[in-house]
Amino acid sequence: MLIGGWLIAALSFTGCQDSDFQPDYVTLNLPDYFPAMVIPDDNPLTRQGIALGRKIYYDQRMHSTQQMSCSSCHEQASSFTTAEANCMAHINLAWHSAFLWNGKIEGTLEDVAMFELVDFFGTDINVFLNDTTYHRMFKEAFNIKSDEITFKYASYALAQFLRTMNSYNSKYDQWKRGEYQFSPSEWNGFVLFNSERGECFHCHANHLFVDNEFHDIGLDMSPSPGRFTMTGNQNDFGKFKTPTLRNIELTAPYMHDGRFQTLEEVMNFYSSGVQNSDNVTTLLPAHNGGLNLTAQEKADIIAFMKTLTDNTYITNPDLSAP
Amino acid sequence: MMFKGNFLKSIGLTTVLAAAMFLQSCEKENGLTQSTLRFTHKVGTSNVIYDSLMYTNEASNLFSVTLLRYFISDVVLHNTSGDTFVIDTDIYVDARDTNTLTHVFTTEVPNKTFTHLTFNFGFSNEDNVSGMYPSLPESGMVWPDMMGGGYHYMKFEGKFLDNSMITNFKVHTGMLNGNANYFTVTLPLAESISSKFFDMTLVMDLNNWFRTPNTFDLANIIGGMMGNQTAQTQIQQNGQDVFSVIQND
Repeated sequence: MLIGGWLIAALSFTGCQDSDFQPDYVTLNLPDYFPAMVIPDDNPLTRQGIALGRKIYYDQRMHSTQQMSCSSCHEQASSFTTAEANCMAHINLAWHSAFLWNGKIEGTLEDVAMFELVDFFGTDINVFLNDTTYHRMFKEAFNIKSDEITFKYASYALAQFLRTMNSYNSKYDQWKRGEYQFSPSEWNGFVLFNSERGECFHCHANHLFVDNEFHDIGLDMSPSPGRFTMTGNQNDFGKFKTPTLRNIELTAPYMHDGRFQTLEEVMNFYSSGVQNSDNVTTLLPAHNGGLNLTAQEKADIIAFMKTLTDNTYITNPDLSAP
Repeated sequence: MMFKGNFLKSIGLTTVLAAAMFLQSCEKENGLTQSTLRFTHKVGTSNVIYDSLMYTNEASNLFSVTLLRYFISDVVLHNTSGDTFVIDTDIYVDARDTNTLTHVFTTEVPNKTFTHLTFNFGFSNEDNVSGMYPSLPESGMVWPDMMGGGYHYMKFEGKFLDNSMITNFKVHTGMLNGNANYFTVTLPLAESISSKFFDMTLVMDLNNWFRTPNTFDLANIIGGMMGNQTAQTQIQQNGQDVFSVIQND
């Protein structure tokens, strides 16, 4: 179905543009236990589009100061986040429908890429218009002339690159493939993770370890507005987007405000620090301060979470600076 | 010739009219061009107001509703002759997501005078297969493999007053350790369906989950009930009368 979509898109491309335009269409090799990746028909993955998006991702001229790129706050060694910025990691974003901690941008990767370039960075379009390398790359990716370059095409390229930023080679994935055996502690953590005793899996769901939803997990009795900022709904006050747990070992600090430096601090919070705030998630026993886990249970859950570390993701040359 | 022609025309017209009347008597036309199955959620006779501690159940728990998501499956019309018509194999409902509250079907219902509707609340064990929903939101209903696998039948969450303290509750049901905790709902139709399309609303009364035959005290499931077969059975038994049907056409 996905391939069919790309073929249709390819036909429409060649039908509207000159016949010499023959980009190399790319099919991602993803695990069969991942959901199907929805790719907009008007932005199929191509080798040329991905390369252009990668160049934009690492180009420090994107910011209005010309001194900051996406990669400035999303470093590959930290699973595409940084401790200083505490932004959400760029990992398996293709399956998300809302972006940023408060879900400020809803829609597709094309939408959030447009936001990043136009609103967040204030990118000067002349960076593209005055650069002959970009002229060539936009031509190769979208078959457009240099004076036809717009933020739309730049966003589409960035979205294509983001769709290739996928992690699926952690110990957990190797276990799924039958190539790895969990240690007793990792297994115990996995069982706890998937129980109401550990109460992790309802939000960090399935193999992507996200639910695409917003929750107040009881960090504070008087929390930051979070999702309320976007919706104006009082019931959203204090809710923030669920982050993926993939590569969580590499993405400290934790929580929307980076208040916890270690996974141990995080587990201590879930065990005994949960506040019974107005909108606290009904999944946690907030009246009781939290899950009341033993030291061993906390250690086991952490051991399992560390099986989600994918070192190949942070060293993948296809995702590094071009 | 003229007489004969008029006579034949007259016979023809009469035949057509008779046939039309006959057909009309067998197949009621309601003007619908598609079938619609709607879902409504009430406490008693009032539509649910979410996030408000305002309802009292049979166990005298003062409670609110924050989340209600569930599956029904094998949604089938039946008649007294044993004929059946499958409306849908599985339907996901999120009571707070209007996109899931109206389901439209374009396949014509055969003219067989259907008298009642049945469906499973949740899934039969053979239909409850892990991985069958790879994408959200349905995949968010996953029921861990080590607890039996498949998907939650229902997530019903809220808060209640327990010894003067606001406390969370979560009524989560599923195929715990392979136990068939689903149940089949049978709803007689006040007016049999003899038209090509229908418009019906399934109404869930949330308070019925907490009474008859079991008075269900939320204080007994603090921390959850996914691993509690006794609670699973009680909810299964109580669920037999949570649904009613309204025919809108």
